[in-house]
Amino acid sequence: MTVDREEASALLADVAGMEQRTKEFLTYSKVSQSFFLWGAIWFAGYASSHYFEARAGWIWLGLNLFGVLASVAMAARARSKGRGFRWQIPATVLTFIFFGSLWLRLGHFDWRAQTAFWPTLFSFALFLFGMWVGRAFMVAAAVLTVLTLAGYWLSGGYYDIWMAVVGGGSLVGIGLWLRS
Amino acid sequence: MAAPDEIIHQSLRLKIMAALNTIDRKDRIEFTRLKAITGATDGNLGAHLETLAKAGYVDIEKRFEGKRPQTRVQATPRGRKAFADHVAYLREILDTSQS
Repeated sequence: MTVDREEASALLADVAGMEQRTKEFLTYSKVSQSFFLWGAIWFAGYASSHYFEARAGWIWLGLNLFGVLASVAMAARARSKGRGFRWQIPATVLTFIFFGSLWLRLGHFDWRAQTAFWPTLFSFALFLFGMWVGRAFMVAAAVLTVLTLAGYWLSGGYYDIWMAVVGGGSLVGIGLWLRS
Repeated sequence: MAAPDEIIHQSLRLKIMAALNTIDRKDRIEFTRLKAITGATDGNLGAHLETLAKAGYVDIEKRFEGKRPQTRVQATPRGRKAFADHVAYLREILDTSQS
Protein backbone atom coordinates (compact mmCIF):
# COMPACT_ATOMS: atom_id res chain seq x y z
CA MET A 1 0.00 0.00 0.00
CA THR A 2 1.38 3.40 -0.94
CA VAL A 3 0.08 6.68 0.41
CA ASP A 4 1.08 9.99 -1.16
CA ARG A 5 1.46 13.32 0.57
CA GLU A 6 -1.98 14.67 -0.47
CA GLU A 7 -3.80 11.57 0.75
CA ALA A 8 -1.89 11.56 4.06
CA SER A 9 -2.69 15.24 4.56
CA ALA A 10 -6.41 14.69 3.83
CA LEU A 11 -6.61 11.69 6.19
CA LEU A 12 -4.89 13.60 9.01
CA ALA A 13 -7.35 16.47 8.50
CA ASP A 14 -10.19 13.91 8.79
CA VAL A 15 -8.69 12.61 12.04
CA ALA A 16 -8.36 16.13 13.49
CA GLY A 17 -11.93 16.97 12.45
CA MET A 18 -13.28 13.80 14.00
CA GLU A 19 -11.42 14.40 17.28
CA GLN A 20 -12.82 17.94 17.45
CA ARG A 21 -16.35 16.71 16.68
CA THR A 22 -16.14 13.97 19.31
CA LYS A 23 -14.88 16.39 21.97
CA GLU A 24 -17.77 18.74 21.14
CA PHE A 25 -20.21 15.85 21.38
CA LEU A 26 -18.79 14.80 24.79
CA THR A 27 -19.04 18.38 26.08
CA TYR A 28 -22.63 18.75 24.82
CA SER A 29 -23.58 15.45 26.40
CA LYS A 30 -22.00 16.37 29.75
CA VAL A 31 -23.35 19.93 29.86
CA SER A 32 -26.87 18.84 28.86
CA GLN A 33 -27.38 17.53 32.43
CA SER A 34 -26.78 21.05 33.77
CA PHE A 35 -29.42 22.42 31.38
CA PHE A 36 -31.97 19.91 32.73
CA LEU A 37 -31.08 20.84 36.30
CA TRP A 38 -31.22 24.61 35.80
CA GLY A 39 -34.32 24.35 33.62
CA ALA A 40 -36.13 22.71 36.56
CA ILE A 41 -34.72 25.33 38.94
CA TRP A 42 -35.88 28.20 36.71
CA PHE A 43 -39.32 26.68 36.45
CA ALA A 44 -39.67 26.27 40.24
CA GLY A 45 -38.05 29.64 41.02
CA TYR A 46 -40.04 31.79 38.60
CA ALA A 47 -43.27 29.96 39.42
CA SER A 48 -42.65 30.72 43.11
CA SER A 49 -41.97 34.37 42.21
CA HIS A 50 -45.46 34.53 40.67
CA TYR A 51 -47.46 32.50 43.20
CA PHE A 52 -45.55 33.09 46.47
CA GLU A 53 -44.15 36.56 45.90
CA ALA A 54 -43.48 37.26 49.58
CA ARG A 55 -41.29 34.19 50.03
CA ALA A 56 -39.76 34.19 46.55
CA GLY A 57 -36.38 35.54 47.72
CA TRP A 58 -35.88 32.67 50.18
CA ILE A 59 -37.15 30.10 47.71
CA TRP A 60 -34.71 31.36 45.07
CA LEU A 61 -31.87 31.26 47.61
CA GLY A 62 -32.66 27.62 48.47
CA LEU A 63 -33.04 26.63 44.81
CA ASN A 64 -29.78 28.30 43.79
CA LEU A 65 -27.95 26.65 46.70
CA PHE A 66 -29.38 23.29 45.63
CA GLY A 67 -28.36 24.00 42.02
CA VAL A 68 -24.78 24.85 42.98
CA LEU A 69 -24.47 21.74 45.21
CA ALA A 70 -25.93 19.49 42.50
CA SER A 71 -23.57 21.03 39.91
CA VAL A 72 -20.58 20.39 42.21
CA ALA A 73 -21.79 16.78 42.71
CA MET A 74 -22.02 16.30 38.91
CA ALA A 75 -18.51 17.74 38.47
CA ALA A 76 -17.18 15.43 41.23
CA ARG A 77 -18.84 12.45 39.51
CA ALA A 78 -17.17 13.37 36.21
CA ARG A 79 -13.87 13.65 38.08
CA SER A 80 -14.27 10.18 39.61
CA LYS A 81 -14.72 8.81 36.06
CA GLY A 82 -11.23 10.01 35.26
CA ARG A 83 -12.08 13.30 33.58
CA GLY A 84 -10.03 16.15 34.96
CA PHE A 85 -11.66 18.81 37.13
CA ARG A 86 -11.10 22.23 35.64
CA TRP A 87 -11.09 24.92 38.33
CA GLN A 88 -11.56 27.57 35.63
CA ILE A 89 -15.23 26.59 35.18
CA PRO A 90 -16.49 27.31 38.74
CA ALA A 91 -14.09 30.28 38.93
CA THR A 92 -15.67 31.75 35.78
CA VAL A 93 -19.19 31.22 37.14
CA LEU A 94 -18.25 32.89 40.46
CA THR A 95 -16.66 35.82 38.60
CA PHE A 96 -19.87 36.39 36.65
CA ILE A 97 -21.95 36.12 39.86
CA PHE A 98 -19.69 38.71 41.51
CA PHE A 99 -19.90 41.01 38.48
CA GLY A 100 -23.69 40.65 38.32
CA SER A 101 -24.18 41.21 42.06
CA LEU A 102 -21.97 44.30 41.97
CA TRP A 103 -23.91 45.91 39.14
CA LEU A 104 -27.29 45.01 40.58
CA ARG A 105 -26.22 46.88 43.73
CA LEU A 106 -24.88 49.88 41.82
CA GLY A 107 -27.64 49.97 39.23
CA HIS A 108 -30.72 49.88 41.55
CA PHE A 109 -32.67 47.60 39.17
CA ASP A 110 -36.29 46.77 39.97
CA TRP A 111 -37.40 43.14 40.40
CA ARG A 112 -38.44 42.75 36.77
CA ALA A 113 -35.14 44.11 35.47
CA GLN A 114 -33.21 41.93 37.92
CA THR A 115 -34.96 38.79 36.76
CA ALA A 116 -34.14 39.69 33.14
CA PHE A 117 -30.56 40.66 34.03
CA TRP A 118 -29.37 37.26 35.35
CA PRO A 119 -30.55 35.11 32.41
CA THR A 120 -29.11 37.57 29.88
CA LEU A 121 -25.81 37.79 31.80
CA PHE A 122 -25.46 33.99 31.81
CA SER A 123 -26.53 33.79 28.18
CA PHE A 124 -23.74 36.25 27.44
CA ALA A 125 -21.25 33.98 29.27
CA LEU A 126 -22.66 30.94 27.45
CA PHE A 127 -22.24 32.73 24.12
CA LEU A 128 -18.57 33.45 24.87
CA PHE A 129 -18.11 29.82 26.02
CA GLY A 130 -19.64 28.69 22.72
CA MET A 131 -17.08 30.64 20.71
CA TRP A 132 -14.37 28.40 22.18
CA VAL A 133 -16.18 25.10 22.73
CA GLY A 134 -19.02 24.65 20.24
CA ARG A 135 -21.49 26.70 18.22
CA ALA A 136 -24.52 24.97 19.75
CA PHE A 137 -23.90 26.98 22.95
CA MET A 138 -23.99 30.21 20.95
CA VAL A 139 -27.35 29.24 19.45
CA ALA A 140 -28.66 28.28 22.92
CA ALA A 141 -27.49 31.62 24.36
CA ALA A 142 -29.11 33.61 21.54
CA VAL A 143 -32.44 31.74 22.00
CA LEU A 144 -32.44 32.34 25.77
CA THR A 145 -31.63 36.04 25.37
CA VAL A 146 -34.36 36.62 22.78
CA LEU A 147 -36.97 34.74 24.87
CA THR A 148 -35.99 36.59 28.06
CA LEU A 149 -36.20 40.00 26.38
CA ALA A 150 -39.46 39.08 24.64
CA GLY A 151 -40.91 38.17 28.04
CA TYR A 152 -39.54 41.35 29.63
CA TRP A 153 -41.18 43.61 27.09
CA LEU A 154 -44.25 41.68 26.00
CA SER A 155 -45.53 39.46 28.81
CA GLY A 156 -47.05 42.19 31.00
CA GLY A 157 -48.06 40.87 34.44
CA TYR A 158 -47.19 37.30 33.49
CA TYR A 159 -43.45 37.79 33.21
CA ASP A 160 -42.54 35.29 35.96
CA ILE A 161 -44.87 32.68 34.46
CA TRP A 162 -43.34 33.38 31.05
CA MET A 163 -39.84 32.82 32.47
CA ALA A 164 -40.97 29.66 34.31
CA VAL A 165 -42.59 28.01 31.30
CA VAL A 166 -40.71 29.47 28.32
CA GLY A 167 -37.33 30.07 30.03
CA GLY A 168 -37.26 26.86 32.11
CA GLY A 169 -38.77 24.88 29.23
CA SER A 170 -36.17 26.28 26.82
CA LEU A 171 -33.33 25.19 29.09
CA VAL A 172 -34.72 21.65 29.21
CA GLY A 173 -35.31 21.73 25.43
CA ILE A 174 -31.75 22.95 24.81
CA GLY A 175 -30.48 20.13 27.07
CA LEU A 176 -32.39 17.57 24.99
CA TRP A 177 -31.10 19.15 21.77
CA LEU A 178 -27.48 19.07 23.01
CA ARG A 179 -27.86 15.45 24.07
CA SER A 180 -29.17 14.42 20.67
CA MET B 1 9.45 4.42 8.72
CA ALA B 2 6.34 3.06 10.50
CA ALA B 3 4.18 0.62 8.52
CA PRO B 4 0.65 1.46 7.34
CA ASP B 5 -2.30 -0.40 8.82
CA GLU B 6 -4.52 -1.52 5.95
CA ILE B 7 -7.55 -2.10 8.18
CA ILE B 8 -7.51 1.36 9.76
CA HIS B 9 -6.49 3.15 6.57
CA GLN B 10 -9.99 2.99 5.04
CA SER B 11 -11.56 6.47 5.41
CA LEU B 12 -14.61 5.62 7.56
CA ARG B 13 -12.69 3.14 9.73
CA LEU B 14 -10.06 5.82 10.37
CA LYS B 15 -12.82 8.23 11.40
CA ILE B 16 -14.37 5.61 13.69
CA MET B 17 -11.04 4.95 15.37
CA ALA B 18 -10.33 8.70 15.71
CA ALA B 19 -13.69 9.17 17.47
CA LEU B 20 -13.27 6.13 19.75
CA ASN B 21 -9.69 7.12 20.57
CA THR B 22 -10.91 10.53 21.82
CA ILE B 23 -13.24 8.93 24.38
CA ASP B 24 -11.94 7.86 27.83
CA ARG B 25 -10.50 4.34 27.86
CA LYS B 26 -13.17 3.10 30.28
CA ASP B 27 -16.12 4.65 28.44
CA ARG B 28 -18.20 3.30 25.58
CA ILE B 29 -20.19 5.20 22.97
CA GLU B 30 -23.63 4.27 21.69
CA PHE B 31 -23.93 3.17 18.07
CA THR B 32 -26.46 5.92 17.30
CA ARG B 33 -24.14 8.61 18.66
CA LEU B 34 -21.15 7.24 16.77
CA LYS B 35 -23.32 7.31 13.66
CA ALA B 36 -24.13 10.99 14.27
CA ILE B 37 -20.47 11.88 14.84
CA THR B 38 -19.12 10.05 11.78
CA GLY B 39 -22.06 10.87 9.51
CA ALA B 40 -22.23 7.22 8.36
CA THR B 41 -25.33 5.18 7.53
CA ASP B 42 -26.48 2.31 9.79
CA GLY B 43 -25.38 -0.42 7.38
CA ASN B 44 -22.04 1.15 6.52
CA LEU B 45 -21.11 1.83 10.14
CA GLY B 46 -22.19 -1.67 11.22
CA ALA B 47 -20.11 -3.34 8.49
CA HIS B 48 -16.96 -1.35 9.26
CA LEU B 49 -17.35 -1.90 13.01
CA GLU B 50 -17.50 -5.65 12.34
CA THR B 51 -14.25 -5.44 10.37
CA LEU B 52 -12.59 -3.52 13.22
CA ALA B 53 -13.96 -5.99 15.79
CA LYS B 54 -12.60 -8.97 13.82
CA ALA B 55 -9.17 -7.31 13.88
CA GLY B 56 -9.47 -6.90 17.66
CA TYR B 57 -9.46 -3.09 17.40
CA VAL B 58 -12.91 -2.46 18.89
CA ASP B 59 -15.15 -4.20 21.37
CA ILE B 60 -18.88 -4.23 20.58
CA GLU B 61 -21.30 -4.71 23.47
CA LYS B 62 -24.97 -5.47 22.84
CA ARG B 63 -27.35 -5.07 25.77
CA PHE B 64 -30.84 -3.97 26.71
CA GLU B 65 -31.57 -0.58 28.24
CA GLY B 66 -35.01 -1.41 29.63
CA LYS B 67 -36.75 -3.00 26.66
CA ARG B 68 -34.67 -1.13 24.10
CA PRO B 69 -31.68 -2.91 22.51
CA GLN B 70 -28.52 -0.86 22.67
CA THR B 71 -25.16 -1.34 20.96
CA ARG B 72 -22.14 0.31 22.56
CA VAL B 73 -18.60 0.43 21.23
CA GLN B 74 -15.18 0.93 22.74
CA ALA B 75 -11.65 0.94 21.27
CA THR B 76 -9.46 -1.86 22.67
CA PRO B 77 -5.88 -1.15 23.82
CA ARG B 78 -4.71 -2.95 20.67
CA GLY B 79 -6.94 -0.71 18.53
CA ARG B 80 -5.67 2.45 20.23
CA LYS B 81 -2.07 1.41 19.57
CA ALA B 82 -2.80 0.53 15.93
CA PHE B 83 -4.52 3.91 15.46
CA ALA B 84 -1.62 5.81 17.06
CA ASP B 85 0.88 3.91 14.87
CA HIS B 86 -1.10 4.62 11.70
CA VAL B 87 -1.40 8.34 12.51
CA ALA B 88 2.36 8.40 13.17
CA TYR B 89 2.86 6.76 9.75
CA LEU B 90 0.72 9.44 8.04
CA ARG B 91 2.60 12.22 9.84
CA GLU B 92 5.90 10.71 8.77
CA ILE B 93 4.83 10.89 5.12
CA LEU B 94 4.18 14.63 5.50
CA ASP B 95 7.42 15.21 7.41
CA THR B 96 9.48 13.24 4.89
CA SER B 97 8.02 15.03 1.88
CA GLN B 98 8.58 18.45 3.49
CA SER B 99 12.27 17.86 4.26
